[in-house]
Amino acid sequence: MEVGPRKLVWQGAIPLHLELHSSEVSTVPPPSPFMTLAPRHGYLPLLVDYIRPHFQSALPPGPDNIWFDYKGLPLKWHIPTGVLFDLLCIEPERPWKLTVHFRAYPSNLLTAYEGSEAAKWTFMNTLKESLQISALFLKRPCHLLPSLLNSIQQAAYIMYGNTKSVMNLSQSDQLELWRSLVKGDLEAYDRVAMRLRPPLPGGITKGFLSQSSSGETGVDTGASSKAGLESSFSGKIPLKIYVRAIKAAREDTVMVPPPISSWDEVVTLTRPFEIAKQQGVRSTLRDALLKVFPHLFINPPEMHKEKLSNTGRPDGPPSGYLEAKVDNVHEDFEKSRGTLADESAISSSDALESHSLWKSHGVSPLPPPESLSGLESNIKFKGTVRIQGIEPNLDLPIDWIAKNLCGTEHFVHMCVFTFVPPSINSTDKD
Amino acid sequence: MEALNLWNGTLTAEEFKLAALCFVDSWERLCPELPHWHWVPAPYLHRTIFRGNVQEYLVLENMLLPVKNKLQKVELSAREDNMIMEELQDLSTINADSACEYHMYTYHVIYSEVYKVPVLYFHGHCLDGRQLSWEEIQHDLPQCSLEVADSFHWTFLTQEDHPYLHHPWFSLHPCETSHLMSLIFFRWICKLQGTPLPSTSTGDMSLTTHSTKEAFTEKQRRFPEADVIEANSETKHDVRLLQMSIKEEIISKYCLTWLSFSGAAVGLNLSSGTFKELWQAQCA
Repeated sequence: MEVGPRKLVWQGAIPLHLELHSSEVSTVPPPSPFMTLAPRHGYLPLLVDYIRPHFQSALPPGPDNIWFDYKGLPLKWHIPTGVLFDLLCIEPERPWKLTVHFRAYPSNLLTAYEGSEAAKWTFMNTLKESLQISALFLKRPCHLLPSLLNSIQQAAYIMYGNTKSVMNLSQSDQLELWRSLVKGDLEAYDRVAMRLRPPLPGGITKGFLSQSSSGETGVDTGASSKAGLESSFSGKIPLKIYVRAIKAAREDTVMVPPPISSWDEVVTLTRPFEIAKQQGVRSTLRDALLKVFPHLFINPPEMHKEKLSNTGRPDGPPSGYLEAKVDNVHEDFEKSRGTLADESAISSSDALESHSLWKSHGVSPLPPPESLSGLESNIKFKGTVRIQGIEPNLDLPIDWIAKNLCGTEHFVHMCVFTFVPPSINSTDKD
Repeated sequence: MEALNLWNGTLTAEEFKLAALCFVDSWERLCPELPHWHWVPAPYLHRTIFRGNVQEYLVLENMLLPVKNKLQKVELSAREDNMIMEELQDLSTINADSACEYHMYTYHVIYSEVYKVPVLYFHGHCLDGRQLSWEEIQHDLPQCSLEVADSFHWTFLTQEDHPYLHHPWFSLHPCETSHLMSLIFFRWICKLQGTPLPSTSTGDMSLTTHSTKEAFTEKQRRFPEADVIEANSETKHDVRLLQMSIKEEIISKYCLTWLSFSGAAVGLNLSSGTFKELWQAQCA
């Protein structure tokens, strides 16, 4: 049976090379590095039970509170591992060399991963009970659950306009959802996720969760699948956009951008994208980008140009400057495309490129010209987009991306790389 | 325009901006003794990359709140409240020994594109500059908030990454905000519109309002024209004008109303006198 892109994404993992931070090494010789595979959909601290035994004997006495840094940047644990990797490693590094810490948690920079607040949460007791049941389900990872549920809730709000379906999830469903995520069990996850859909009058259900199985297996008949796609995506798609602004004084310096030293160099935005409602129009990734970053396009269509001039840009850099820089750099990114994805992503992008899935659905991978929302296809995005390690064709329908490349919280995590003049001080308030 | 009775309690980003500016203005006029709210732009990089979105937010810095255990009485009447505020005006009266009798809080109000309502972010520190831990902050919270926090943990108060500053801040979860706002404004809108309220029984106010609104909303859905003045184009125009002015009123009162419960939940209490004054000021 053909394995769909959604399954491939769920199976995706990033090889990690972990070293204990030197300040926490209390033995001679220091412990050897630890290698492991981190699931793309997972969160880094979830690996603690694999990692800790290896470093335990070298640690000084004291309570553990795990965190990670990449070249000095403390990693935010509530961002899925795959997104962190896509965002922070422009030139993918395999294995990804991270430093692990068990002490001196930087609570001024990272949200508390372990706190007494968690102990107060009533459903934690339920989770603790489950410790007895599942060996994977150890004490600390429980603290991640609220964060995940919050994200799911946001996504549900964007898609369905309310959070009732999430609020009404039973404790056992919450647990099941979490467990499926920890284990990377897509089928179990889908079983619970189905319950997040609100019922519509007449017993019909809609939303992309209901369509997930067809996207995954690709065994639906072309006609029904096509109809299903068109009818199911009349709503909004939850996007989480992480923009990395790379300072580029001259094109050649951007070939290997310096690592991020502070999260201030990343700009994030959570945004619903409303997909086209007209018949025969299928919103693409390009449409979504145009909506969010009209100013990052060369030859933006008239309507967006208008919008730009309305909103004004009193303090932005001169556009000509930015455009010229970005143009050159963009070419470099284009050239290096294909070497940028990790294992899972390569196979997924192969799947995308061969369009076998599309053929099996009887759907053309690229929407016909008239479905490009009337936009000319020569408009060019001045930046690079990476979703689940893939740099997707901008003509891909956004609903397809939402269905197959979304994270466990139903958000499409989109990493965007763009360029800013070096004079911009990201910490400036004005 | 949709009947305002069906207003779902959300604002667009532009409406929020308007609401915030209204609020900043009347706060400054009527609470001169309190720190002022500021309308602050997002960091430069953010504005450069996401052009065109509303990228400003409300900031209230250096709000001094008394530490609970140092005061005999936690529930302060408006009068006492004012007295304390007078005391606080002169920081020099606080000697070094009592450096931590007050905690200094900073509040940010940021518009959520997801929930389409303002979201409250806050953190606190001691007067010596040390940041407060979650335990200390919890200690400062009103008792009722602690109880809610206990039973609705992940939908009430959580630690979140600040959307602009990327540091952990405490945040009030916005998922119920729009519902609450629509309930609060429902009766008021009906009154201004001259729409007869469906008959209500006495009893728990909030519950009554809730069920009344549900019933009314249902009725409006089925018979959208039932309560609106009969349709000739002239009266329709009048209705539209009336609705527009009501919407403006809602916007001008939105932030204040929202803060009256969100602020209270995190200990930023307005005395009822101040609240009344502000409300009336925004009527004008």
